[in-house]
Amino acid sequence: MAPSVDMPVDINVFSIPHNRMKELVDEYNMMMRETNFHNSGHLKKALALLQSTFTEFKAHEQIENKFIIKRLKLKLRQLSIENDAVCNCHKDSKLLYILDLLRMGHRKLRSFSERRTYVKELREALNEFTDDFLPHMKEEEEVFQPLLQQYFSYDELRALKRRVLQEHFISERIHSQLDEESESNSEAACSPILQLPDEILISIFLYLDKPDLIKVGKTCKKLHSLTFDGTFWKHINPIKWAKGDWSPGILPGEDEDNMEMNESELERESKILSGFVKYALPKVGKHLISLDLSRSKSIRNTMLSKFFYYAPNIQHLNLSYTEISDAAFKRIGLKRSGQNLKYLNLTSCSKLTDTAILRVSSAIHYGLPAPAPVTGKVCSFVRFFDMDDKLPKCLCHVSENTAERRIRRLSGDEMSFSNSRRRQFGGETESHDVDKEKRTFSLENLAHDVNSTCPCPHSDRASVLEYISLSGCFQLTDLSLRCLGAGNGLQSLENIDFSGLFRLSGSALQEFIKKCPKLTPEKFSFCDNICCGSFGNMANGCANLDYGDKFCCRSGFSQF
Amino acid sequence: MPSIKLSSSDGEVFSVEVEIAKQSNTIKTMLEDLGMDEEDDEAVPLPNVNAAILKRVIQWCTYHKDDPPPPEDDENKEKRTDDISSWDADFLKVDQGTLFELILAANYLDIKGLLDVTCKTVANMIKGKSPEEIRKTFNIKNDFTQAEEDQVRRENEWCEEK
Repeated sequence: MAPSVDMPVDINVFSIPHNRMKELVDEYNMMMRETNFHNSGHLKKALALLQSTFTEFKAHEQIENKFIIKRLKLKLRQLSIENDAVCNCHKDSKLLYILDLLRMGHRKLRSFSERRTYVKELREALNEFTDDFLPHMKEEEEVFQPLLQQYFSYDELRALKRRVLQEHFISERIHSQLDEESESNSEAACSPILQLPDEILISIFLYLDKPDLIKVGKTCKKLHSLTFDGTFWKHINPIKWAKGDWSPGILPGEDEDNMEMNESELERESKILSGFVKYALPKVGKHLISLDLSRSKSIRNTMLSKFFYYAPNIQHLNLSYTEISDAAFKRIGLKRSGQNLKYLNLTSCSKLTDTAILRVSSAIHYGLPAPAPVTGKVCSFVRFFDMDDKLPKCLCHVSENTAERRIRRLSGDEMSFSNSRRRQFGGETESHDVDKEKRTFSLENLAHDVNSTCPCPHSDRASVLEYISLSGCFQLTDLSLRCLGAGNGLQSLENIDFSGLFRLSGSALQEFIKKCPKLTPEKFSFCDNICCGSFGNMANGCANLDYGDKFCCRSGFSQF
Repeated sequence: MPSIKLSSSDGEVFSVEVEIAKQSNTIKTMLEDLGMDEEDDEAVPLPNVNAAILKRVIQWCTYHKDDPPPPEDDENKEKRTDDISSWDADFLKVDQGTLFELILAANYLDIKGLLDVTCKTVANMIKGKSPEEIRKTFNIKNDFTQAEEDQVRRENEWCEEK
């Protein structure tokens, strides 16, 4: 029943907390009687209980000191009353001694005799404490409570009591929280390495190669998530990995002697590459900066598509000497994937056609739209060539002859789409060894590209591409150059290898290099057979036959 | 030799030659930014480093005071861990707790050389070990469920040597 205001009952500020403290005293006394201190597990448990009990005692005494005794002292001083009892109370040295003892106990419990001495000491200290503590509480209730009632008003006391209980409640809650936390942290506490900040763990793990890193990730959840931090996965070189070289360096050593892989290495390459793409790439892709798949035998178009999807920020891409084809680039350009490409090596990717380069172009000039899927937009393409002379300046200029040739070709390809076109262009058809539909696809995409971009190119950012090698991609034509040079041009491009691209025309090359202000002759190679190319004598591919990785139509790669 | 005073978290004050103390970028910046000079009698407070660790850090810095400044991190460079000098190796023959405290101190005080060598030491404690051995070395509790552990194993099979 709530006390009515008219009939004040005694407000005892001590009773409730003291009841709790007495309970705790009973609890630990019982525990001390029942614990088998020879068992280190029991001892640890007992120590933990004592620790929390005495922490609570300490908090209790602090609350009483702060909120009751101090207030009482103040009040008495205000009223100029001297009271010895109030001055001499609350020396909690014994309590602190036990807390010290407990802290010590957590550390040195090694030998049996040490343990025995310790337990004896502890038992004595506890007995002494209990002997003091119970009378101390009694004294508080019998001496201070009457003083409080004498000098404090009813309302003051009520407020005081509420405050004291509140404080106890808070401290108890904090302690129970701390207990829980220390329990959940106790594993971490056992393992100091897990308490290091993540940034430090990362700098440690940066010294590990991938297999060691993965093993660290298998130990526990925290480290597992940490091992997939982007820092570790910026540079991916599965081919090097397959050869057993997991060193954390970025680029492969150029050891040409060791290019051929044996069978087991090939098998490992395939396992590593497909496993990485399936499991790791989705987690770490967005941090990936360089990907070296040079001479990979197991890279597939679909895998590469996934790289472009999950790793849009890639800057360094080496796909040289692989069997990839246009489909690999289906997803480049989507979500701005590939717009940061600085280095692109497609040396000897002889399956690539203009379609691939068109897709790459749309990515590196990211203001240009991504290639659209095949639609019936062929007529817009035709319009593009019809208006060749009116083309905006932002496009490379295809010489008249080339354009004518293209139109004738297109008209042939187009037959597969529309018979009416055949009539319009007189039905002249050229036979091509390349799949017709594919070619139409690439040309048609270019048309789409040109139509939607060129009247007002919205590429607000120059491509950052610095290096490109298409050496040996013999199927490429002037269209590739036109695409690459579109938009704001290639302001950063310094190094170009077009060796072996015998289908390029000199005039297209001339137009192209106008788009590359940073290019110097010694860093530009193209096929000798092309007349009127820029930098005539200095920049040619055929003079480079000594270099194993340069291509030329004369060099025996005459399958094309 | 001009010297400055450094005060550890537990209040112990060490007098250190300025040139030695300046291997710590944190202290170096403090001296420069706060315009503290050698004449200053006031100790620089280092609230994150206790006396035992600070003593070791000063010992390390004293031994390495004539070293050239460590090179900037280069991603392209392979990160070696087999280049720890024998003096450093001896210096770091300490229990894990101390080693980790040294790392934290080196990080806080921004002493790159000490941070590098301590991190390498820990990396060497990991290298070539199985997950179970790593757990044992660092007293890490396996908190994966069986199913999770299976999944982690499956997802990482591609990265197993041989």
